[in-house]
Amino acid sequence: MTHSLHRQGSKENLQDDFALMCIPTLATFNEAPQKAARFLEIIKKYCPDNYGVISRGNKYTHDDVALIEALNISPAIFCVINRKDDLTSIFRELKEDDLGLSVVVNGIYEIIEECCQQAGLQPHTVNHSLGVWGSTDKLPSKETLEIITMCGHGQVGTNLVYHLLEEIKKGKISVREAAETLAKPCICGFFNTKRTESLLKQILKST
Amino acid sequence: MIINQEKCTSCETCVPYCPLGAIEVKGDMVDINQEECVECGVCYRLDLCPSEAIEPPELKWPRVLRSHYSDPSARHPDTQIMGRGTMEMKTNDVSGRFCQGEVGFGVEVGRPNTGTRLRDVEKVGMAIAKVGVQWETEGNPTYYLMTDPASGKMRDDVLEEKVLSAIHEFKTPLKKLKDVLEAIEKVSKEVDTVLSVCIITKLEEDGSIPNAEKARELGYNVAINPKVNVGLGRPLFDFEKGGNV
Repeated sequence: MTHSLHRQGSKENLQDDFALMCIPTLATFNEAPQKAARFLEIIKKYCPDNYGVISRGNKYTHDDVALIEALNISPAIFCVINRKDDLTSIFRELKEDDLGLSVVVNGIYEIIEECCQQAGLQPHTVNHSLGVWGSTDKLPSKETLEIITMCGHGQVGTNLVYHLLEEIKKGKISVREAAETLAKPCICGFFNTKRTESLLKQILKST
Repeated sequence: MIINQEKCTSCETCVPYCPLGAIEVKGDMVDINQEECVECGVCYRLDLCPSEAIEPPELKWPRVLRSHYSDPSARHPDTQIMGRGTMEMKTNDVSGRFCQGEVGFGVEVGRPNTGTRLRDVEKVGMAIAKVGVQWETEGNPTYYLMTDPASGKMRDDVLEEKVLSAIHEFKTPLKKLKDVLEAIEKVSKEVDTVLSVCIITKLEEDGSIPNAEKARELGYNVAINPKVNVGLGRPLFDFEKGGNV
C-alpha cells in the first residue's frame, strides 16, 4: 500500500525524514528473507532512527532476533534514516550488493534525486501525494497531522498525541519518551522519533 | 476487540491508544464501542492492559473485513498480502505495472485516521468507474469486494462495516488525468470521510515526471515529498519491448 506516502510537513521539517524500504515482488518471495536480513545489516551501520517488520513490530517493541525471525512471514524491512549523507551511502552499498529487490524511499524529491545521482542511480518510478480531500473538517490540527501521518497505516491516533503532551506538561515523561511511545503502535517502523521530538517541542512551545 | 469486564480494573491505560477513539469511559466502566471499533488490534498488540482484559474475539464475515482493512499485520485471505493495498509502484522496476504514458492512481478512503464505512468506499469507486479506468485486479482487496467492476458496485452485505481505510488502485492513459481527478474531487464532497489521493509516474528517460507536471498545471497541490523507486530491482519486465524479460 501507500503507507510511506502522505507524510505531512514543511520543507524545513521534512529535510531529515527518509522512509526507506526494501521489498520483494510475489515472484521473488522465496529468496527475500535472506536478502531483507542483508538489507537490515547494511542500514544498521547508519544508526537508523527506526526499523521494523510488518508482521511483528519495530525496534521500539521487539529485538533484532524477533524481527529477523519475522522476515520468514513478511520478508521486507522498513526503516527511517535521518541524514541525507547516510541515504547516499546506503544507496551506494545497495548498488554494490545488487540484492535485486526493489528499494523505495520517501522524502523531499530534490534531496533524493541528489542522493541517487551521487550513488549512480536513476529514479525509476515516483508516487506523489495530491493531499487530503473530502471532509477535512474531521482532521486534527496541522501540527498533530504532521506527527500522525508518519504512520501511514493509521495506528497512531490523535488522542495518544494529546495524552502524551499532557503527560509531558505534568512532568511525568520526557519528550523523548513520548516520541518512543508514539512509535510503538506504528508496527512497520516508519515512524520517525527524532522528527517527532522536534514536532512535539514546537507544539509545547506554542501552547 | 472486546474488554473482559470481569478482568478490567478501569485503569484507563488503553483509552488514548485507540486510533479512532472507540475505547470509551462510561462511569466506572471502560468499554469498546463495537460500532466504531475497526479491529485494528493496536490495544491488544501493544500488550497495554495490566490485567489482560483486552481480548480478540473470533471475527466472522463481514466483521472480519474490519481487521483486514485496519490491522497491517493481518494477511488478506484474497490477496495474501499484508496491508490494505498492493505493491503498486514499490516494485514497478521489477513488475512493470506502470509504463510511460500511463498514470497510476491510489485513492485511500478514510485516511488519515478518520476511518470510513465501506458504503463511502463504494461511492468513491462508482464515481471513478464512470470515467472508465483499468482497476488493479491482482492483489487489491477492495477490487475483490466489487460485484460489478464496470460500475464499481460492491457487495451489499459489507457496506455498513467500518474500516480504518480502503484503497482504490487503478490506472489510465495520461490524457484521462483531468477527468479522473475531477471525478474524485466531486465525489469527495459527497462522502462523510476523507480521501488521500496520489498519482504514480514511470519517469521519462530524461528524468522528467510528466504526470506530476500535468497535475500541477491543472492546479492540484503536488507534495514535495514523494515516494521514489530508485530502480535497484532486477526486472522481470522489459520496459522497452513490453512483456516479461
